[in-house]
Amino acid sequence: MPTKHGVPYGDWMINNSLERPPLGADATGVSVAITVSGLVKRYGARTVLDGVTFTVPSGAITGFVGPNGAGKTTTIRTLLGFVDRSAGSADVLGHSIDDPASFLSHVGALIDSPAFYPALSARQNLRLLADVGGIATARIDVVLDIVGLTARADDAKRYSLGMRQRLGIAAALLPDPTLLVLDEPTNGLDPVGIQEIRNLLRRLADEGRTVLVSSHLLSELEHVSDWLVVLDGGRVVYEGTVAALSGGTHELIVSTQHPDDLSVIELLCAERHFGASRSTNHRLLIDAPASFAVELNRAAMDLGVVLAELSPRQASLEESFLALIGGTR
Amino acid sequence: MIGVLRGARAELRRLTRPSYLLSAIGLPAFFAALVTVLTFNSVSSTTTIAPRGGPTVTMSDLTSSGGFLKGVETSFTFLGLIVLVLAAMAVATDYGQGTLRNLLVRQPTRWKLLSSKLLALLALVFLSALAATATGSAVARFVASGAGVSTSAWQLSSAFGHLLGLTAGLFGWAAIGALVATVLRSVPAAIGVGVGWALPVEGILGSAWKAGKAWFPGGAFEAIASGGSSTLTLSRAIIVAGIYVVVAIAAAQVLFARREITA
Repeated sequence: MPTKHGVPYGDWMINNSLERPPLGADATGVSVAITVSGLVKRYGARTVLDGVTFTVPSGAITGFVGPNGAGKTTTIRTLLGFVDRSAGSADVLGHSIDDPASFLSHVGALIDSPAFYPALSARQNLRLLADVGGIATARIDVVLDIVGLTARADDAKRYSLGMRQRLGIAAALLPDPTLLVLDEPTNGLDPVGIQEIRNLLRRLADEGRTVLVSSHLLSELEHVSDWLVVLDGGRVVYEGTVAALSGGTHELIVSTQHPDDLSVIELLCAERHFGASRSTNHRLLIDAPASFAVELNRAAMDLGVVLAELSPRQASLEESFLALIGGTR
Repeated sequence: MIGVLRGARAELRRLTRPSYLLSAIGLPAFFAALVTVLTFNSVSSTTTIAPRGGPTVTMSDLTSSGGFLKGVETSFTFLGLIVLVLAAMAVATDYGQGTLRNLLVRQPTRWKLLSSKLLALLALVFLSALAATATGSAVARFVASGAGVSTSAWQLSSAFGHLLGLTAGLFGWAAIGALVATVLRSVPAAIGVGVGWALPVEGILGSAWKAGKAWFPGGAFEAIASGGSSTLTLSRAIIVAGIYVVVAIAAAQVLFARREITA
């Protein structure tokens, strides 16, 4: 998948053996749209961002996920120059965030809820923004068409929440941006609206744009994100692919022919420092990778314990996500 | 500069919508007409009026070359309040509605954005002054004969200098409104504080310190609009009002540039 900068991204995604994408485009040929390094934001004694470090690869959709209050919006506001940082650094499209004017002409953004002048129609609102940004008015019809608002362009007062979100995305698309930053664009939308936004994001990324989209719900982004950054308590707790997140946690489910033998298995796990807990139906849930199954089976046989069941279970994406954000509290 | 002009054009798209334009043009025209009627009908050859401690208007003032503008000058306090409120709304609304975020993404150089707004406000203030002057003049012509005011010395050309002075004086109030809105970032709070200063506070301070009255912002702006007052000549009023405007705009620019956008 070629990026807008002409640097292949797909190879890296497929052969993703890295914990995180490299900082800069030189090391592996991966083009990076945003690099954030040790970003700190304090309001008095309260630390909102606590050394946030991540990268956003170009030409892909990066899901920026975390519970409410995790620091997503503050991070985005800092990247766009709305909020000053207390420490750390960040580059957007190769420019320091100290000089937002150097990169914002290539950036489209929807921050928080979509905000418009209620007395003006959708088209008038977009024209106003086009004037401010020196953008050709021909783009207005283009972006209205992209978000499917052409038929209602001369209205805005009776817009539903979904239409307002789409108008917000249209405003973000006005400058034909290289980088699109969308903060909770699916907030308040029904499932159909969410699916529409997902499809739109996919289409935009397929055109070679970089999309950074935030949500407090992983389920809203898991199907559309190429890359995930999970934030909690002002810290990045995960950065990687969706597949790697769901594959990161495993359990082994074990039952023995004689229920009393479960205590033997518990001892074997404890010796190898794997946690184990009993569930209903005389089963043992072991926090261990699938590879431990062979060793466990052999050890049980050596001790004369017959296993009735030994199966790996991969944690669901939501479970992995909850484990991540729960682990920092 | 192009960025500022583009921004001003964008701002005018918003400020010239019918409801806003009606307030900016209709209200000044209405008050100018009303005060002109009251002024002409209150002044006779033996009486004078001095509305709300403002400049005294005599029959000789009304029959002078610029006599048809005396009603407009007398209504300056009302016009100033209207402009202050409109300016406060124009600036503070962007904070309250969150539209400032959109604007700053498209124009990240903040001084340019605020300058655009002030430039658009200047254009709007000119329209307000024009509406008030035109309406007040027309009404004065209409009521003069009934009030026994001779119009033989009236000269239309004096309206141009008056219009310039009125625009300058009103823009002073717009600058104050923009500053208060930038400080408070709330339409109701900005209007409350702005109107509070313009009416009771400056009035009370002026009553307590009569010599200093003309040196307060409202006094200086009114002196410019009236072509000078008994305590402040026009040239001095321009300097005093200019200082207020420059300080107000500079303070607003610094605040606007440095404040974090969290709304």
